[in-house]
Amino acid sequence: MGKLSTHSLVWAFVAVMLAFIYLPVVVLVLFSFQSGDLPVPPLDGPSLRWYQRAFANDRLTNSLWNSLLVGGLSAAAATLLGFLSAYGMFRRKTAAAAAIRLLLIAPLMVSYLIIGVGLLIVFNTAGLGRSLFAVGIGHVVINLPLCYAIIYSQFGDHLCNIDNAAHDLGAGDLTTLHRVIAPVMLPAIIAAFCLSFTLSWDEFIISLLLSRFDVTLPVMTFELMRAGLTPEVNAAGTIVFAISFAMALAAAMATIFRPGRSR
Amino acid sequence: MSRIAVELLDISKSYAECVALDCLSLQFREGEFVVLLGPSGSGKTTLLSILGGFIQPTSGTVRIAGRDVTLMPPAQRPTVTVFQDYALFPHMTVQDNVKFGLEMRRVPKRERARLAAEALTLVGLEGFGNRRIHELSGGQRQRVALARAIVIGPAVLLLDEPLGALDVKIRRQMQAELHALQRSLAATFIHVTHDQEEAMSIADTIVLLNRGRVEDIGPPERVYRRQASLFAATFMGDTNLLEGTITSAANGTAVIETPLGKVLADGGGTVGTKVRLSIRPECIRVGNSNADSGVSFGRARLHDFVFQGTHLRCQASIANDRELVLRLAADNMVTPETTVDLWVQSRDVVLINREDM
Repeated sequence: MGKLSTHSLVWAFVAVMLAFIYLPVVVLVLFSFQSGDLPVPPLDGPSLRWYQRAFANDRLTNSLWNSLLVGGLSAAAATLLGFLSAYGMFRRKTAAAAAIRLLLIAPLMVSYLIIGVGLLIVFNTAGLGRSLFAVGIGHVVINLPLCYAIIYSQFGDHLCNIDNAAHDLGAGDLTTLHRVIAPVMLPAIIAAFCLSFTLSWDEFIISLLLSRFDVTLPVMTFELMRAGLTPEVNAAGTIVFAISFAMALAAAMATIFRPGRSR
Repeated sequence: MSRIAVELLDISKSYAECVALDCLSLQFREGEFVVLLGPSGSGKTTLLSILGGFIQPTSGTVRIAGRDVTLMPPAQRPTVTVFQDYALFPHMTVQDNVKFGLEMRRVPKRERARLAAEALTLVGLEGFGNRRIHELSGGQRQRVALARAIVIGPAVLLLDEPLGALDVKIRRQMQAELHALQRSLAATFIHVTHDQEEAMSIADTIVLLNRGRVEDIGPPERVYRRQASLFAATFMGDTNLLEGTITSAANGTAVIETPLGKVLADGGGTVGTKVRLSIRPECIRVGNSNADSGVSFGRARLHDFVFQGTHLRCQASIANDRELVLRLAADNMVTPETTVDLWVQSRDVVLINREDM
């Protein structure tokens, strides 16, 4: 017994843990290249047959565009609102700050199911009914707290004087925001946007509850699965995963590589 | 006599827990280089923020160039602040930083470029316009911050510990440059620092602050040599303090009875008052006293020598187990454990009547 065996134990643990996390994804991706009719072993590919099938399916491609639209717009709205609230909380240290912060963060603690049902009731009462727009609003509700938290965490003390300096040199609030604060905060803003997009893109429950004829990709995938388990579901799932992965990576890059920090 | 540039009337600032400034009234002339000096928590930065408009005083009035600016936002004041951490805009080039204030004032584009280049030349950064901020050293960033502030032509420039983050050599150089810059611009500079040497080397006027009050105000030499209070004596460098009682006072000279015997000092006071005497280490001389104008400390044993380059710092044990701090010329021939005579001229003994600390 010694260092070597402890060392290999650690590596074995890491391997098991990674397998636990990534094996389902690997299986999903692998069997999307199946050429047979069922996504079960043995693997008899590789073949792009099910991808062709998926892209030929109008309902599936429509849902893909819907997801991109809802994801892009809701992430943009959540990021903008999150940025403005973070700046507001940063600038004005009011006595009620703790209470306001709690209100901003609270939706993170409520389950998506409850938010979805709540919004469904609100939209029905308002006579707006279910739609992609409603799904987008739902995604803004769940992503705003996250955007606020990410961006607020990057408002350091050094920004306090940068903000003061811009005002001191004669810039108004809006000019300061778009000429100085937003560019300096760009990495955090990009990270918040990418993460919001990813969460919206993956989100299922609220989309299921609030959409009607136009559905998002996860809802469509679910419907495909109910019709029967074919590798087409795997292909759709792989597309969802690939885009999520790319956005999460972009978010990570934005926070790791921050150009031009003054200190 | 130049006109009053900045006037503070009964300025107080209190926070929930403490009083940062306690009823301050000050006046600074146009073209004066003022240093607000004090330890941390003395209220000097609060005072600067009130002048810059970033903090509103709890009570009192701020007048700049004759106008009441107490409630005016920073942008409308004829002041610009140079922040401690420079607060440069990291995503802009050097010249875009410098041009920012001009752009906000809607100066025409060509004029902007000319003024920015001029300001950069003035701070010694000619040709640095296209550099990015993160490519610059600390001293260069400091210069950009200065250029960005002076390019607007403020009547009053506020500097919040601008040299605090620089190493000693660059700090000395920047002090000289700041002084020259202030002379050439003829603007009022108000500079905050906790470094008394920095204050003495650049100020026309030192405002010594302690616990939100003004301890002393005056030219550096007077503030250093004729300390107004016990705090002024201990904060502005080393000193030797003696307690005593005034036994007589006449013609501007007081006689004080101390544990070391009678000491003569310039000043006056009521006979019987308990006072303190402050004697700077460099004022204590080796040799025999001149009986008319000096005070002898008698025989002293020298020990604990610290060589400090330009001078020698040591302790002297005198009668009654008392210790004095001495600062001797570095080429002085004394060696540790020698015994010498010490004396001080009565004009170098400062009489401090004020009780408070």
